Amino acid sequence: MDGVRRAVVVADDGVAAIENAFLIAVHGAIFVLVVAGVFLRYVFNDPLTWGEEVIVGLFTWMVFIAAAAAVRSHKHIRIDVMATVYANPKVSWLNGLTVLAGVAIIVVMIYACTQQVLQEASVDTPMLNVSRAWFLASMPVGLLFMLLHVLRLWLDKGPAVVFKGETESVIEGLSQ
Amino acid sequence: MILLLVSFMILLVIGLPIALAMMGASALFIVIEGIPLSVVAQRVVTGVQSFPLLAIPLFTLAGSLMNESGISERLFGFTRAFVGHIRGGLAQTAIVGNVFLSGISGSSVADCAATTRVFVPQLVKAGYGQSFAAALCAACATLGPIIPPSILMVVYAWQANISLGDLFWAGIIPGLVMALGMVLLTNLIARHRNYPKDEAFSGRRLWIAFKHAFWALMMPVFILVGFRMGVFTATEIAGIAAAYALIAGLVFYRTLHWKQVPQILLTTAKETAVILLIVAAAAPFSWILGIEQAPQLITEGIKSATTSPWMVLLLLNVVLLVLGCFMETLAIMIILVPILLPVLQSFGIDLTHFGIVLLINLVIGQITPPVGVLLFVSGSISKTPLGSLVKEVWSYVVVLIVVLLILTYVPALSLWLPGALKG
Repeated sequence: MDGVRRAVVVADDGVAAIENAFLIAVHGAIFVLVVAGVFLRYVFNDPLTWGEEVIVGLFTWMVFIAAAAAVRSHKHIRIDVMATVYANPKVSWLNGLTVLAGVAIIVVMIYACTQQVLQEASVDTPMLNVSRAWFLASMPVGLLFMLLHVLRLWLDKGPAVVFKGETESVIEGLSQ
Repeated sequence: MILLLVSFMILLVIGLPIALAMMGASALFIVIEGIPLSVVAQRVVTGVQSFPLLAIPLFTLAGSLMNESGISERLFGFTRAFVGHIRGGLAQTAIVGNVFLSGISGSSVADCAATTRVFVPQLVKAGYGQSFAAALCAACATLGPIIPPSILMVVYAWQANISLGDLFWAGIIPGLVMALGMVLLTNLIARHRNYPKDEAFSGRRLWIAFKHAFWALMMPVFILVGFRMGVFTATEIAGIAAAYALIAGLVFYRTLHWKQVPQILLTTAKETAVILLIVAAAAPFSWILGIEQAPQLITEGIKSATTSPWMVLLLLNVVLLVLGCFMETLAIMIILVPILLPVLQSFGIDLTHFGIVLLINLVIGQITPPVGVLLFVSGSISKTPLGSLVKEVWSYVVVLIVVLLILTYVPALSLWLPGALKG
């Protein structure tokens, strides 16, 4: 069991480092491309014809990878008014059930998204003429990373912490 | 449809994030109905492939860059020089300061946490009651989503397919009316309890504070003028606003360093992804509600009860206020707006006006006892018992409900400014 746990921790830390570098690069690139697009369009009257497609593609990747990273940072939003219930040790079984339900949903969605990627692999985008699968793959990859983060938190800190919400972490962070 | 809603509620109540609960409920419905599962994936991914939604991370980036440049202190310094001399001046500073700060962080929870952390210790030290200080900070945070730029407005404008520029302009007068209501109430409380004044008004101090805060004060002006020109898209304006914030921090204020930028990019990417994942997960959810004819059923139900748009607005106000107490603002908006649009259109209710009414309802829900999330945040951070916090916040809730009713039944307060600017 310790071996599995160690492997999950190593893999999770590695993925987290990749995610962070990727998100900084992609968010920075989106910002630069949008601003450059404005200048080229309005100052030089020479718009980036491929710009919008690239930006939307990068944006899609950013959303799904950042959504995975947000699990580690406890930024996801859930019903805040139930926070005290989830923290009660008497209902710890509920937290276990929640994690199982979450894992099941993520696994089902990875399957559904992979099907979708395979279906659209032969469809090209209008401007760049690349397979749409390059953009759609963001979702199964992001969900796979999310699954890894969920498993790591579960093994490391127990089920109560896995889906801890933004409000709970903001309060804890500022109260400390 | 009942299966979808019940499974969604169960998944929410057991503590799953809203986005996963929506995906899970949609997937369950699709499997039971024998529709290919890839439909859920297709809807989710297309739900986020939208150029207008890019305004969300870019506006959030602009806000974070400004905050990291220390503009909060400059803005609060300016508002303190402006209103500090009146009775309860420090409390008034928190309200007027929030008008300028507004909610570009993308999270009213984060706004409330920041305001509470800054103001509660100062207010308590100055002789204000702790419960009053915490309640005030929670109430102030309701201004964020109403005064532009606002992330919730970007989402609503995208959902309702209306002009974001019009919605931003439409939020200004309602936001100021809300702030005025809170300022007047605070003044009454301060007189009654003999809360202190700050130093006497000084034109010179105000001018110095204005100069310190100038570049920060210009950002909303810059954004609104960008919309007024009607040439740029919302995403382009958000991008330029972020560039402006970067230049202001690096060059004008020199309080931002290049080393901080990667961390800001990372944090804002995560903050906005959480919002956008809910938007994406809502796409199959809304699609199912559509094929189950939920909007038509609700429209017919309401039409059988009343034919008056004013009654419909009253009914929606009550429903939204109650929902706002229990659910997250963004989730309510994302679920309800697609269902309500046909109702609003069939009753001839202006969608921009309704957008403002909707947002005010939802932010009031966040401070409505006993379960308003901002009370929870403010109370926990300031270590104020919820019971005493609730006693203090009631008067603010009542004032905001009065403002809501005025804004609901006087649409001109929302619609006059965008209309006048169009000529």
